[in-house]
Formats: sequence, structure tokens, C-alpha cells
Amino acid sequence: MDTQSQVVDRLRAAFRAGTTMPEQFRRTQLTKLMSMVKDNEQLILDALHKDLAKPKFEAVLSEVDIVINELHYAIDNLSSWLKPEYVSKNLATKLDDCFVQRQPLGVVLIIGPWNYPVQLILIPLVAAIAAGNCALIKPSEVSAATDSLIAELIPKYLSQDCYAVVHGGADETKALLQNRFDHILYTGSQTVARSILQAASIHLTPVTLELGGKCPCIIYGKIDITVAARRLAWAKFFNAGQSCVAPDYVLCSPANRDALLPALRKILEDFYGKDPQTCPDFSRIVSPRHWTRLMELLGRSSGKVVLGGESSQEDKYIAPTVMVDVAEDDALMQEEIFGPILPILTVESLEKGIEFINRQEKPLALYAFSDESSVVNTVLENTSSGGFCSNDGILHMTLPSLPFGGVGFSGWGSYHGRWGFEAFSHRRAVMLRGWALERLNGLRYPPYTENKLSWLRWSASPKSCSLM
Amino acid sequence: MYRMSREQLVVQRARKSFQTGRTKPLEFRIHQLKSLLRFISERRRDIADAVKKDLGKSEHGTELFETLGLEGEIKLAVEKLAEWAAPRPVEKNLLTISDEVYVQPEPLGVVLIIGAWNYPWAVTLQPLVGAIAAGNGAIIKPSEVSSHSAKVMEELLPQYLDKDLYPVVTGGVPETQELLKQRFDHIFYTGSSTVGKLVMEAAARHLTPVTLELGGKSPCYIDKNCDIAIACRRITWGKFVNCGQTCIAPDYILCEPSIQSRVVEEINKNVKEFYTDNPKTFEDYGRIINQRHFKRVMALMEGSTIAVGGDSDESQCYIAPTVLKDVTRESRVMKEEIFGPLLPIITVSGVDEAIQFINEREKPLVVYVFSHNNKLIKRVIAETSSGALLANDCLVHFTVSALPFGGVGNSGMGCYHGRHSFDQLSHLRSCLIKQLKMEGVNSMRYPPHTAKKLGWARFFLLKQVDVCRLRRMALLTMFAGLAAFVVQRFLR
Repeated sequence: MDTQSQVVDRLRAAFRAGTTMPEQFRRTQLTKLMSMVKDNEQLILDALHKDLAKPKFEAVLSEVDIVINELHYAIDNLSSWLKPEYVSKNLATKLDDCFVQRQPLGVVLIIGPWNYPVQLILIPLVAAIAAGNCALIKPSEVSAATDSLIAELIPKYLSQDCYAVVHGGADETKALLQNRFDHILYTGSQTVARSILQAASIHLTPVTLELGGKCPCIIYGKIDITVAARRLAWAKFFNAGQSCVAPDYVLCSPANRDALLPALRKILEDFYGKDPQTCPDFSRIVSPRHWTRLMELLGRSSGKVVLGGESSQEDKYIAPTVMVDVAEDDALMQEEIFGPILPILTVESLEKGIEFINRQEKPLALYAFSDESSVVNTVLENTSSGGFCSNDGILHMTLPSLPFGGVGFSGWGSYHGRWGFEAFSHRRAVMLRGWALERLNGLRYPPYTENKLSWLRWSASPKSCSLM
Repeated sequence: MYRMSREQLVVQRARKSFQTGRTKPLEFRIHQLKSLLRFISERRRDIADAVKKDLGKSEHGTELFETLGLEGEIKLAVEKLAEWAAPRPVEKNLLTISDEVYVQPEPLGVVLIIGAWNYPWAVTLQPLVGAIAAGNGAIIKPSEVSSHSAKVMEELLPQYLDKDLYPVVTGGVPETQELLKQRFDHIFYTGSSTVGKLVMEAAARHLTPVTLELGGKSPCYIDKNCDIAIACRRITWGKFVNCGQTCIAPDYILCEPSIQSRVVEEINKNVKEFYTDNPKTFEDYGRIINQRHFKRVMALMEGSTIAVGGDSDESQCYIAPTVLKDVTRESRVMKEEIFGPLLPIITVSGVDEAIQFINEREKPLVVYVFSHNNKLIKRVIAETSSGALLANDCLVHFTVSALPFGGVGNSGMGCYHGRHSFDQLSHLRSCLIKQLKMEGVNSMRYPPHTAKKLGWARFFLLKQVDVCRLRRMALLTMFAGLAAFVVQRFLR
């Protein structure tokens, strides 16, 4: 069994040999990855069910189809992404070729989390392959069944020289990071992200950090509360709230809250029946440790449970739970919840709600529900977040054309679609000058004179090329 | 009693000012940019004097290499700001066909710009143009090594730009370290790879993203079949501008042994033509920035054969334009980025060996190749990596603002110039604007989940659709139908 360093060396040798450069090679690998997902859909669903009790519906959409979608997108667009991008020039460089060439970076490391263990490791891999890199992927050991499955399947379908899977927990990851990589994409927590950045700084390795935060959901103004409640509940309780872009908490007026609660009660019953624990369409918490964390949060909270609240330790089950009378300094507001607990906080006005949001760290996603577009615009213009979605949740990250990433503590960089390709590429400026017009170059050589300078000023300005 | 350091206070004030939202309106940003432009034209003399004292550069040299580019960047930003800051619509899918889907550039907050001493105005203020345009506040920390420029910047810039939002903080290592303890929303650093690592490490504490414009040894390959006279002319210019203290200067030459003497001869000829027989007395030839770097560069000559120049004067920090020949991999001069007026020539058997030589080393900021053979140039493009590649000239890619200017690997991360500066110092926020209508369409995604719903959802929910193509197809179908109707009705 190769050590980690040996694996990295093997990938680097393959990259140096130019194996991943040809477009055809990348396309073939992407096609094989597509086969891997399609051929093994049932195995993937089984593993996800083992790890998270993930309902088939959720798994198919959020782990299988979304990956296939990205693969199609990359395969269809790869040729155009690889074309040199010609840029505008000034008069002095009019006769030259100026373009941007996309180059692979080398050997990249992808570290995945446990909540969408297939999607969040394979979509970055799609981007890394498309960009022509070799890749080492480290799935999360917390989602153990999926970790094993990925480690088994990848070498069966993809080139073993160019792509490898490594296992391990915190210690193994720390050791892995001592190797030099040309890019690291990490999805997970802020704390771990800091140590990854420290390790990356030693080698000047660029990173993409997909972190978390508390995604606020502000509900204000005139609103169809039933539809809003339904979409909110869907986004919140998908994967039992264990989504980095799940609405973490709600901010609304007392009146909205009073209308929201009965709507939520009915919708939760429509979704999961009277006893969600018996409903196959509701997930479980990933591990006993996280279950305990959530139960402790509930215990320390000063809020009141108005919906749900039931739990079962052996089953790692926590019911879809809604809480009210939660204040800004409540235990539930001190960390990202990442579970099926929805606190509802009340604010007196939209301005107060926006101020509240701006007192917290910039989140990965921000949601505003309202029938009034002025409300949505006010929230959009006065806040910052990785992404923003009005009147729905999660969906903005399902579009490959939108960059998926955070800002501030919620992350650095982005991916999906072309953005992923760019994240794993170097945009190299290329300029091919001719040999003629050496006379014109004479303007720039010493001795420097005022006359030469004024000609240069004119020729170097972007405007002057409109004369041509 | 706990007292805040000067650096803490400055950053806090900038942040408070940013939080009032003053930098959001484009008019404010344009006003600041225009003031910066006025600063450069009104204070031309002060800037030129400072650079002369720092680097021995002539006034024309300063204008050519410091302020001309800067003025161009400001004018471009003013002209294009509305376009750059506007929402950028993106491709939709079937599900979002009636929604607004776009990317919105937003300011990051307060950025830190750490400048370098070699082009103290250009590399400190060009990032500032991007910071202002993107709507940020910015702490400007010029290099203390170019002390006269730093002083002028500290005294005069606040007379033109908003004092709270764009303060200049001067100082050496302790002040920089204190600054780096503060929290910023982005750090833009230009300088050495060694310090770049420290900046990134400091930024890690606050999860602050960085742009690092570093250095490296930029190789220059001369194909033996090219016009050696013109090649050497351009290389001489590129190398000895600012006394070789340019991050994108050709660091060393790679060529076949058969042309080495010719290369030496041509460079010698051009040195005389550009800088006269006595560059020491010539106004347009500069100086090494300080004693420490003078000693460092002089030491690099050790063990190599001097083919051109070689003389020096420590009291003036003067080193003549110098060419070293028959240099080997092990020579001292090949151990670090030269950043001085020494041009080593290393002989290789051809482009194969040159490519191998380049790839054995860290990725540089630029790879230069001089050749008439387009196939050869294409090979170098395909088989090497670097921040940029420039064929048949030196330095000038810097002036094309549409080209991203930055490094890769050890030579840096991120890029800037033109619109790239704006994007680098903005947050590109994904926006999906939906209505609460058309809820029927959503029903397939809600529990309880059924096989039928899943089938529909698989088809409908994630399918990417080329909306333009759909529209065109629809139009085409419509016209076809119309044409068929016309034929039937009127042309029977």
C-alpha cells in the first residue's frame, strides 16, 4: 500500500509526463466518471442511506443527478473553455496576438465533507479533471460507507496514474497537507480551514474554501405565507438541515411569525406525516457526536419549542423542530446549527433585521421572502453573502452557471460549471509580438525625451485603437 | 488601560467609514479616482523627485514606467466602472426560466495594499485603483525601502483622497506586522516569495483571501535562427530598465553556444547606445535601491565570467549593465532572483534542453522566447508554465490592461490590471430572484416522495437548457408554420 507521499509523487510524475493535457484524455475521463455514477447509482444510494438515512429522492437529486448535470456541462463546454481567449489591445500592440491561455495547475487536493459526500467530492473532481490536473481526493471519514464506496469505484473507472483516493481523519489529513499541492479545494468548517490555509501558505498553494456560517432567512412585508413556509421548510429540513446553504434561522415580524407557525405545522405534517421518525422521506443526523452536539444546543437554548422537539439517540433522530423566543445571544445563535432546528427571531422592522444580519459574519447564503420586490432589493443591496436567493432556498447552488462559494468567513473562491474549471486553472497571459516595427519600438529606448514620451502616451492609450 | 495601536485605529476608522455605505455609489468611486488622477498630474514633480532619490531614475523614466501606466488604469476604470459594476446575467435552466439569475459584483470591505520599492508608485497605486473602483476602503502601506516615495505618498495622498477610507500607513517590519494582525477583507501584496508566505500565513488567521504578486527567475530563450540584433536590442532594454529591478525583467538567457558571442556583442552594442559609454554619468540609467541590495547583487557575480560591464561604485550604489557568460546551473547568480543589472547567459543544446531547464525550476512570472519559428513558440507555450508568456519582446505585456497580470505557483496567486483588478477586489455574489408564484411547478420536489414525482423531478429540475437555442427553435418553428400557411393559402 503506497504511502500518501508516494501517491502524490505518482500523480506528479503523471502530470509532468503530460498525460492529462490532451482534451481527448480529459473528455474520456469525464465520460468514465459519468459511467461510474450511472452504473453504480443503487450502490451510491445504499451508501448514502447507511451514512445519513438519506431518502432516495433527496439522494438522487442532490447527489447523483446534480453530478451528472455537471459532467454533461463540462463535457459539452470543454472545447470552448480551452480555446484561447483573445483580448482587446492598444495601438502599440495592435499587430500582436494577445490572448489568455488556460493551463492546468498540476496536482490538486480535494477534501470533502460528510453531508453531501458524493456531490461535494465529485463536482470538484469534475472541474479538476476538465482543467487538466491530476487529483487526490480525500472523502470524509465521517460518512464512512460513502468513503469506502468512492475509494473502491474511482480506481475502477478513472486512470490510476492521474487520480487517487486517500482515507483518514484529522491526523492523516494533517500529514497529507505537508505535501506540496498546486491547489487545495476544501469543504468544511472554518476552524479546519484556518489550519489548511496555514499549511497551504508554506508552499504558496492557492485554495478554494467552501465553508459555512449561519444563513439567515428574512421574511418581511406582504407575503403568501403558505408558499413561503413550504419552500422554507423544504430547504431547511432537506437532509435534516445538514446543508451548508440551509436557512439556519428566520428573522421576521411578530405578525409574520404568528402566521408562519400554523403554516409550518401543516406543511411539516404534509411532508413527513404525524411521526417523522417513521417517514422514509426524512433523514437522520450523521453521527452520535453530531446528534449529541445538537441535543446539547437545544438544551442550552432559552427558546421555546413550538413544533417537533422529539428525538431518539439510538436512531440519531431529531424531529423537524421550530423554536420561538430565541434572542441574539441564545446558544442556538452562537454557531452554525447544521441540523433540523429552526429558530424564529422577531425584529421590529426591515432595517433592524438587516442590521441584525450585518452584525453577524457574512454567510454562505442569504434568503429573503417577500411578495414586495422593494423588500427583496433592500435586503440584497444592504447585505453581503456568498449567494442570495429570494423566495426559495438552496436552488441558486444547483445552477452550474452561478459561482458557488462564500465570502469572508463563509469562504474564499468558488466553483460549479465554468467557475470550477477556472478555479483549477491558471489564466496565463500570452503575447506574441512581431519582429517588424522596430522603429516604433525606438520610442521607448533611452535616451528618454519629451517627444518620444508624448508619442508613447498616445499609442499606449486604449482609446487610440478606435482610430483603426 | 488598553491602548490601541496606530495601525488598529487606522483600520477601525476605515472600517467604520466603509460601513456607512459611502463607497457604494459609483459617483463617489469615480470622484475618488479622478482625484487620484489629479494627484498624479499636479504632483508630477514631487513624484519624480522622490523616485530620483530612491532609485536614481530620471523624470522621463519615472513618467514612462510609473505614472503613464497608472494614469491609463485610472482612466480605464472611470470609463468602464458602470459596466464592470453592473449585474452580470448568466445562463438559466428550465426551472429558472422566468427568474432573474445573475452575478452581482460587490465590495469586499477594507483591503490592505502592501507595495514594493522597485516601482513604488505603480505597484502600490495600481492595486488601489482596483480597490477604489470595486467600492472598498483601503489601507495603503508603501515600502519603507523606497523611503522618499513613501514619505511623499504619506504627506500628499491624503490631500486628494478620502483620509478615512484610504489612509497611508508608513513604517518598517514592526509596523507591517502590526498591520497584518488586523482583520482585512483582502490583502494585496507585491514583493518576494519569502515574505509572501508570511503574509498568507498571517491572513490565514482571519481567513482573509490574498493576492500575491511575487517574483522568480524569468528565463529568456533565444533561438539561434532569429534576428539576434533585434532580439538583443529588446532584451537589453527589458533587462536594464530600472537597473534590472523589475519583477518581470528577463532574469537569465538560455541560448545555444554557437550564438553566445554574438549575443554578448549585440547586448554590448545596445548598452552603449542606450546608456552611453559611461552609464554612471548618464541620466537615464538608474541605481540599486540601497547598500544591502547592492552588496547582495555584487555577491551574485562571484564565480562567473564577466563579458560586459562589471564595474561598480558602492558609494553611489552603482552597478554597470553587466553580462555574465558561460554561467552554469550551480553558479551563485542562478541561486536566487537577481533583481539587478546582471544578465547571465547559460548555454543549452536547443529548445528541448531549454524547456527542460525551465521546468526544473519554480514557475516564474514570465517566460520569454525569441524566435521566428511559430512551431517552436507554440511548443514553449504548451510545455512550460508561468504567470505570462511573451514572445519576441520584453515587459510590454504589462501595458495591455485586458491581460491578467499575475503569477502562478511560487510567482504568485491572483492577478490584476484593468477589469481584473476590479474583479479581484470584489465579491461576485450569485443572485437568484424568484417570485412566490408558479408553486405548482415545485410540487414535484416536496415530500411525500413518489416514484412518479421523482421521474418528473429528474427531468425537469436540473436540466440545463440553452434558452437562446430554444427561442431560436421556437421562432423557426413559427416561421415554418407561417410559410406553410402562406404556401397553402396563396400560392396554390
